[in-house]
Amino acid sequence: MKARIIALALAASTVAVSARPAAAWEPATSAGIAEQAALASSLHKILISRFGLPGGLFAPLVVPPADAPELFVVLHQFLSPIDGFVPDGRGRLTALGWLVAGAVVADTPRSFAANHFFDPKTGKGLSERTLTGLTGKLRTWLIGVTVRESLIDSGVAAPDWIYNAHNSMSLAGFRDQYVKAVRARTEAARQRHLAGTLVAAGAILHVLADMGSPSHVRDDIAAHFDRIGRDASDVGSRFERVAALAYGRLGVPAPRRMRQRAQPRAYFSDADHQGLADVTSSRWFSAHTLPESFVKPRSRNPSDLKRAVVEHLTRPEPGPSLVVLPTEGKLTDESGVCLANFTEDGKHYRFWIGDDCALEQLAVILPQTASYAAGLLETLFAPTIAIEVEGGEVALRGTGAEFGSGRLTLFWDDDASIRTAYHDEQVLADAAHKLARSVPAPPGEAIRVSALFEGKDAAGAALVVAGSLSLREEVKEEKAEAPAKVAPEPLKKKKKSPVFPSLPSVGKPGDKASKEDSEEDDD
Amino acid sequence: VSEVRQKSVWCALAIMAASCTPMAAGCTAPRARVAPFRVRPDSVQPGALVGPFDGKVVDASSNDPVSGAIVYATWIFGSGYGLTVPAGFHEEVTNTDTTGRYQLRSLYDVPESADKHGVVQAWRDSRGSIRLTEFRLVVYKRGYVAYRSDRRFSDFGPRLDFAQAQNQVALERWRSDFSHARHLRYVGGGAALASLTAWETNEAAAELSGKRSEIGPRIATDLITPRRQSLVAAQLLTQKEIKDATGFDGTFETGPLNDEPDTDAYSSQHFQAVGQPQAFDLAVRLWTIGQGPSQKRYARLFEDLPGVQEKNEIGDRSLRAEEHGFYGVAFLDARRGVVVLLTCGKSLCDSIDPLVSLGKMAYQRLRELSPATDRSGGTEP
Repeated sequence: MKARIIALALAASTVAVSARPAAAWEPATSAGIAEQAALASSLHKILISRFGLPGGLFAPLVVPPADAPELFVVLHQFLSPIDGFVPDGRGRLTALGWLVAGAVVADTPRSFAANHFFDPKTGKGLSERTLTGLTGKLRTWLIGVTVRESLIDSGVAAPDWIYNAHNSMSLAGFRDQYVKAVRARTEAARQRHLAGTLVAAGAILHVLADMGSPSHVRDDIAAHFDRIGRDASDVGSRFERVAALAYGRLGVPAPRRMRQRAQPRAYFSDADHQGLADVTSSRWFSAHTLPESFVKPRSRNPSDLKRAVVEHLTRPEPGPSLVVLPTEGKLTDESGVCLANFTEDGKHYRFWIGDDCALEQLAVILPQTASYAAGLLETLFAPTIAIEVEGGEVALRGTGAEFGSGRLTLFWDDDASIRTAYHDEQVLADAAHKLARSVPAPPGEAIRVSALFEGKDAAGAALVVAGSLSLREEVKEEKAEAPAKVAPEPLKKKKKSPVFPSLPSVGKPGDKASKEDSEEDDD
Repeated sequence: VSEVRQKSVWCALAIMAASCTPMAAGCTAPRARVAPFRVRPDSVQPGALVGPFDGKVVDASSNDPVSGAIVYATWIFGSGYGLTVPAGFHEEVTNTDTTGRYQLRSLYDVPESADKHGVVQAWRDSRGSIRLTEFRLVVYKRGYVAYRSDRRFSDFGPRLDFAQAQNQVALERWRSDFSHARHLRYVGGGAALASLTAWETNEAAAELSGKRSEIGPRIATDLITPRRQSLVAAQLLTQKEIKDATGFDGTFETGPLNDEPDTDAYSSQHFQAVGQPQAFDLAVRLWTIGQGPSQKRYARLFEDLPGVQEKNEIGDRSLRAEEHGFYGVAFLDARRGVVVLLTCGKSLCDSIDPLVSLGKMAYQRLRELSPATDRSGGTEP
């Protein structure tokens, strides 16, 4: 009896000190990666040309809160608007904001965060492997209690999670919203679903971005129980906390190039080991998958030390590329980036990842993660159907994907942007997988023609692609140049000049007067 | 009996241990992370996320207080035993006063009526696992680059000079080579800020579409393009000089005029008499546009201003103008390619003479700030 009571007391005390590991990049980092991905991709131009939004990434999209009550509970009650990804009371937010909102809410409900782990060595998701000892077991139990289900059992591997039926922001959810964003009859409905498309895309980016965090791809849940605050109950991933403090949302570096893969799953892991999870897992240590501590060898020669380190790796990688710098107490890779710190602890060498070391890693990891995220965004949005109107026909040609069989629908928009389907056919894959065909032209009063393909790609994976063409370029241009239609400008109203109301307009650069003013001076 | 007593002791210990977990309400003080900012600019002690906060907002080029700037503050909470999720936020919006100062109350002083989602009360009661994790502040006034307490605009690096009390915010004037896309990302959101920055969205969209490249490079990368320091209208006159010249004993609010944002070619400074009608205001407009265009701009002023008389008493050419209620003085410095227009309400300037003397001071300041180089390479005496 006494033993049981002690165990209860111990369990309760352990609950106190084992609280709240953050299980993903912190919201600021997730938001920053999504923003950089959007800016590096062609999404801005796609939103203008395919979805008719002159403001592109900065175009406001409205989702009435009543249309997505659960989403708005999260957005309005729990997330601060100060970072630009929370819609206002009417549900108005920029396209970029919706994408980032998706990236931030992907951890909600919290049990979903368990599905953002993937070990490419085993092909599995989260496990309790690194939670050892009584404390570890209690923490495992605690997480289960907190999320009201067995976290470990529910941990779907991240690449599977984006295809999972229980994930409302999966690829299927993305495609569903995308189709509605093209098919809906009114412009408001199309924009509402476009916002939904972007939220789903943001959530998918979040799952991928988590593959840039070493603990997520090295099966290291214990790394998420490190103490990160002054009180013992403030625990989480120190590595991810350092990322949030050092980079935040705004400081996430832009990707140096866009990493493009054929299929969404390949961005996570692929046979060529070039998925983000593959690369991260093999290049970096995480806090609890460092080399085991070992007795100091007699020789402090770097090559002997390296051999000893490699013998004590808990996972096979990173191994061959290790460089040991005994005087600096660092393990680096061949390019000199810190992988871990080590120190002499009595007769042993002990390993850890210091904050400076983590910062060196983050400077490489974050832009690389953003480059994969940008590529995935491109894979999701870039495939299109090029449309040309020639005489009485519309010529179609698919680009950016290998089109298989599916359903092709053509729409036309009238002056009021009311969209009507006017042609629908089942298509079979052509030899070139390019969907090349001609269909009837829309009615003469059409101002825009759009095409939607819903089917499969050449490999049999689900594929949804759209294309759109404005038939009245002057209208398009006018829209693009008419800011007041998109965003009222209360502050741009000229106030009465404080003095001399008849003062001539000052003019901005680009205005006729200012161009005159801004002529190059030869002085 | 002793066995029962022993069991009771163990039970009591167990209950105490269980009830004093952070999950149990009422046992612990409201939890907050260590603030990443100092308590005061001159201190090495960390501040408190909970607040209160105060500071002063000034114009970076003139050091004059900036009144009427919007100050938007957010406290962010997190919660979770197991997996962390955002737990809510509390926001406060205020404006800087006529001396450029702002004050924000502590979270402990937030009344229930202002606690929109009840998160502050939940935190104060240590309900659940709620924790105060962050505080952020944004200062914005049109015509200036916004200010964030967590990041710098120039390189998006962490801001290290924010302080809980006596914080100094130096707002940099907006320049035409700044990126609106970058600025909108920097400002972030919130209903108040979104409406104030709505005008920038079209500029930002055009920028991302590559439609604004004709007006020169934008800061769309992580680094500012090094450039020559621009001359701005705020540098030409001080409040003291105006008061000395006019005998006015009130105070001025200062900031750009609401006609157009500052650019490399144009800047303005409005000295707005506090609590007085417009007839007590003075405005300075400065065009820095090169030799040829400056001649044209001066000619346009000469044509368009009411009651113009050319006097040529300041710079290369100068004029006086008068309209019901206002005086005006403009001058041209052809060598520097600069035109300046000063306008003064007749309640502040009882005749045009104080304005002329202020024009001369402005011209002298211009010469000091921008030594001109003549065509032979020598400098102006």
